[in-house]
Amino acid sequence: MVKSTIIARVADGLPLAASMDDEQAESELAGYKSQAKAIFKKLNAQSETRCSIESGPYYLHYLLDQGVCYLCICDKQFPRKLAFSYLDELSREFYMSYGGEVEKPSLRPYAFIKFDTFIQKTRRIYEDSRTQQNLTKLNEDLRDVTQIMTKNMEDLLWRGGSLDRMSSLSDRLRDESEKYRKDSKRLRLQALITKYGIVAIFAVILFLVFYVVLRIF
Amino acid sequence: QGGFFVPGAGQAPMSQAQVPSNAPGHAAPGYLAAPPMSMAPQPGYPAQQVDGLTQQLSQMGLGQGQQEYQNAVLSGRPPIAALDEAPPATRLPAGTVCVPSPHALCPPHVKRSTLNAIPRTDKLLKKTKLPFGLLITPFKEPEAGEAPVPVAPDIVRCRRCRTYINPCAQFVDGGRRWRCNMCNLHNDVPMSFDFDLVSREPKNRWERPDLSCSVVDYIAPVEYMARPPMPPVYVFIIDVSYASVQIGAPGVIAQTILSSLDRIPNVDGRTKIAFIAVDAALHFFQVRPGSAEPQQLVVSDFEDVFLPSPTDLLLNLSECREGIESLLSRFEGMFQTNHSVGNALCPAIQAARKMLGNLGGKIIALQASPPTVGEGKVELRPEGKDLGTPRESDLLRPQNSWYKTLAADCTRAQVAFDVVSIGQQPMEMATVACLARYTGGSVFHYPSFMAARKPEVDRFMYELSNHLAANIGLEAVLRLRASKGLRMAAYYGNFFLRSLDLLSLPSVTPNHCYAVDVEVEETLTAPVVYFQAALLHTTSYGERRIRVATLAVPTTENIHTVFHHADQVAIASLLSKKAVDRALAAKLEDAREALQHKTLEIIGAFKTECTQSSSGATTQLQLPRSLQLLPQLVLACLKHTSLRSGNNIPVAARMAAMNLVLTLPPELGVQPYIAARLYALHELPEQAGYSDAQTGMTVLPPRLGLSAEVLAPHGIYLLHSGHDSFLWFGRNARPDLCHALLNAQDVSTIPNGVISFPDLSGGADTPAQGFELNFRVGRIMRHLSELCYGLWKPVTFVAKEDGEPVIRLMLQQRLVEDMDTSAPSYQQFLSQLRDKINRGSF
Repeated sequence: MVKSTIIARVADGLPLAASMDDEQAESELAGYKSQAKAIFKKLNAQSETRCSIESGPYYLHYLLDQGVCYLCICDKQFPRKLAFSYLDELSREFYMSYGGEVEKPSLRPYAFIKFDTFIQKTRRIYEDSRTQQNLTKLNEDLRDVTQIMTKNMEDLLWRGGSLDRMSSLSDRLRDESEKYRKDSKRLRLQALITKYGIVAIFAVILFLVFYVVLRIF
Repeated sequence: QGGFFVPGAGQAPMSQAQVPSNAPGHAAPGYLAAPPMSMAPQPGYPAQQVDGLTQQLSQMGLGQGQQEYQNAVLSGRPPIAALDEAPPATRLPAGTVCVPSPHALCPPHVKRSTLNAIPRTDKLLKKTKLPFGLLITPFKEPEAGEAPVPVAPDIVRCRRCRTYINPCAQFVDGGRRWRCNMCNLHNDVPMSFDFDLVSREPKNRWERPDLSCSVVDYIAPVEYMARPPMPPVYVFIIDVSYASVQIGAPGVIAQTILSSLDRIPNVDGRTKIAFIAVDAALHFFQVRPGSAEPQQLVVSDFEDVFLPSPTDLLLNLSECREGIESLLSRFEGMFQTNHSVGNALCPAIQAARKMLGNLGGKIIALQASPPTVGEGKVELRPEGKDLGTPRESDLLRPQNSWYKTLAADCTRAQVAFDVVSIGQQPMEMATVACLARYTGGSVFHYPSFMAARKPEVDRFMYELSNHLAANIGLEAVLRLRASKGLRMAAYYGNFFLRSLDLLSLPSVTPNHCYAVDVEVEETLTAPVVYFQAALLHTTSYGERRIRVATLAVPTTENIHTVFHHADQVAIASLLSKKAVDRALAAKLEDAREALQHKTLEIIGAFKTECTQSSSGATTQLQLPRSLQLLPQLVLACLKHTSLRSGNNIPVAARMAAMNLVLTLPPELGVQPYIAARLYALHELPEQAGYSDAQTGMTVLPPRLGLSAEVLAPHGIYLLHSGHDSFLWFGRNARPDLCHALLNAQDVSTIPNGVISFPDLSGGADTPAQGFELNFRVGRIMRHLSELCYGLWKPVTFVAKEDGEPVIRLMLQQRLVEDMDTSAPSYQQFLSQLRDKINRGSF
C-alpha cells in the first residue's frame, strides 16, 4: 500500500504538499523521506518523467508533470501499475486545483498542504490492491509500465556519483592519451634526426662531392 | 550603494519616539544630531563610548528624573486608582532603534520586564531586593481594531548568536553590515534588503517590518520543519458516567461542541475531530465517509488498550460534518439513562494517544468524576479535615507520577491537554491537572454547573466555545535570548522545559503568559540590554511561522533609578506566579511566607538605600511612587483563592485558581483576577456607561478601594473580578434604582444568588424608558469582559447586605483591604511590616 506521498516543485525542490502520516509510519519512513528530498534535489526538467526507485523494503515511484513532481513511497508488493495510476490521479487533481499557482516565486513551503485531504481520500481507494475497482485498473492496459525505468536507490545516490567520477576520469584519460600520442610522434622524429642526421648530411655531402667530381671528370 | 542607504539621512535612523517628553531641551539637540553609527560601541574604544553614553543618558533620560522622583508614604488607604495607570515608560537613549516607528518598542502586553531600568551588576540587583524577570505573552491575539502582526519577507539572523534582526540592530560600514545588538558581531546585510530579487527593483530597506516593528512573524522555510505542518486535531473525552449524567453535563457539552463546529479553526478543511465517551468503558464513535450514521464501538478491556477500528475514528470535520452533527445531536439521548459509575479516563487517554499517533493534537478531557479505572487511577483523598492545616499542601501534590510521565511523553508527540472539570464531585484535580500543566494546556473549573442553571450553562458554553474557536498554535517551541551577561534562571507557566532556554509547547493557547526569572551574571556594560523571544509554531491554517518579539531595556548604576522604574503590576504578577509554583512544589505556608518576606525586604531595602532615615525607627513606611501599590497587591495575592489560608477552599477550586495565576498575563492576572474592580452604581458620573466621544470606548466610573467601609447602606455596587461579578445591594438601596437596574420593585424583591444580568433595553443602542441604569451597567459589564480578552463570561451574583451569607462571604473575600480570618487588613499588614523593619528583622 501507499505509505507516504510528497508533492514538490521540480525547479527548486520546494515541497508543495504532503500526506500527514498518522501511523507509526512517520518514524519508520523518516530515512526514506530524506531520500525523497535528495531525489527532488537531483531532478530537473530533463529527468526521466516516470521512474521507480528501489530502496530497502520500499519502492519510491515518482511522476513529473507540468513542473511538479509527485512521489509516493510504497511497499514492494504494491503493484507498480496501481502506484502510477494513483500518482496520475493526484497529478490531474492537483493541476486542476493549483496548476496556475505552482510557479509563483514567493511560494511558502507546503503552500498547498490542504491537498492532503484529497491525498488521504485517494490513498484509501488504492489501499487494498485486491478490491474490484483496483483489479479492473490493474487489468486495464492503462500504460505500459514495463517501459518505466527502474533504478536502485544506492545507484542513484552513491554509485551515481562514482559513475560520474568514472566517466570524467575516462574522458580525461582519452584527452591525455591523445596528447601523449602527439608528443611521442614528435619525440620519435627528434630522436631519428639526432641519430641519423649527421650521417645523412655526410652522405649527402659525399654524394654531392662524388657527383661534382664525376661531372668534372 | 549610496542610492539605497544614506546613513543618518533624514528618513530613517534618528529621533526616537520614546525620548521622554520632558527631557531638558538643551541636552537633546546635540544628541540627536549624532549619526546612528557612532552609537555603536566601536571595537577600538568601547569603554569611553559607553561612559559618554551613560553620561548623556543620565543627563537626559534616566537620571534627570532624580529630583522629580517621588516617594509615596504608605499610610491610609492604598491609592487603588494607580492600578489603571500605564506601566512606567522605558526611557531608552535616542538612537537605540534604527527606524522611527511607533511599533519599534515592544508593547507591554507582549513582553514586560519587572524592572524598566536594569541594574548593571548583580550586587546592585541584590541590594534592591526587587525580583527581576520577564513576563512574556508571545502568542497575544490582536484585539479587535488592532492590526495583525506584520509578516517579514525573509529571515535574517546573526551568524554567531542566531538572534533575529530587529529594530534595535544598527547598520555599520555605510549600511553594508549590521551589528547584532545581542553579541555585537558584524553581519553582512543580505542583498534582498535593498533589491527585490523577484521584481528586480530597488527596495527601501526601512520599509521592512522586521526593522520597524518589535513583534513580527516570519514564514519559516523548509529548514525549520521536521515534517509537513500538522492540521488542528481535537479529541474530546467526555465523561458520561452517572455523576456526569446527573448534572446533565453530556447534553450541554454535546450542544456546545455542536454549536462551535463552525468556529473551530478549519481554514483549509484539514481539521480532524474525534469523540470518546467514558464511563466504566470506552465508547468510540465511528463515522464512515459519506455516511450520516455514527456507529458506537464499546471497549471495556483495559489490559492493553486498543482501538476498535483502525480508521474513521478520527474524523475530518468538513467531510464527516453530517455524521458529526448527527452524533452530537443524539449524544445526550444515548447516555441519558446511563447508571454506570466509574471513569476510565486513563485508558481513554491512552486510546486517544494511539489515535493521534505521531500526528499530534489536542485532547480535551471534560470530566465530572475522578479517574477510577485503569493504569493511572487515583484514590479519592478525603479533604474535609485536612483543609487549612499543613497537611493541605500534600493534597495539592499529585498522587502518582503517571500523569506527569504521560504529559512528558505527549509533549514529544505534540499532544496537548485541556482539563475541564465540571460539577462538585472532588476530581483529584491536583493529579489530573498535571496533564495541562506540562503540555501547555488550560484548566477550567465549573463547580456549580447544573444543566438546569441557565447562567452557569451560558457561561460554560461561552467559555468552552471561545476556547475551541481560538486560533491556537501547534507543535511550537519558544526560545528566549538575552544580551550577554544575563541568564534565564527559572520559568513559570504551563509548558514543558526542554532545555534552559527552550520551552516546548505542543499547543500554544493565545494570551497564555510565561514568566521567567532573570539573573545578572556578569557586569553589564552596554547602556541598553535586549531580550528576544522566538516562538516557532504552526498556525491553525497550516503555516509554519516564527513570531519574534524583541524588548529593549536600559541599564543603570543608580539604585534610585532602579526603584523608580520598577513596574509594580509586573512584579506582583511575577511574585504571584513564583508563590504558586512554590506552593505546588513545597508548602502553601512557605509560599505565603516568602511572599510577605519579599515585600518586607523590598521596603526595607528602599528605606536603607534611598531615604534619609536609612537607619533607626520610622513611623511611616515609604516606597517609590512606582511601587506604592505593592503591599496592597501582595496582600491581595495572599487573600486570593490560590494562596489563601483557611479551611473553606476545596482542592479543585484552588488548583484551578493556581493554574489561572500561572497562565494569565499580568494585565489580567493582577487586576481584575487578583485585585478586583469595585464601582458604585448609585452615583455613576454622567458619562459613565456611555461611549467616549473620542475613543468610542465605554467610559468606566471611578474605581473604589476594596474595603467594606466604602459600601454605603443606600448604595448599589458592582464588583468585577473577571471570572465572577457581584452586584451588592445595601439595606436601604433606593427602590427607583433597583427598578432601573433589574426591574424590581425594591431591594427585597430581588432574588438572592446567581442571576443572568437582564438586558431590559432589548439589545437596542439606546436605553429603554426608565431602564437607563440597566443599560449603562450592562455596557460597563460588557466592557469589563472585553478588557479580559473575552476569556470569561462572568456569572453575576446578587449579594444583599442582609441576604445569603455564603454569597456575602464570597464577596467579602474579594474585599482585600479588610481583615478576615486568613490575613490581616491593609492597615494591620502595614503596621506588621513597619514593626519588623523597625526591629531590623529583614
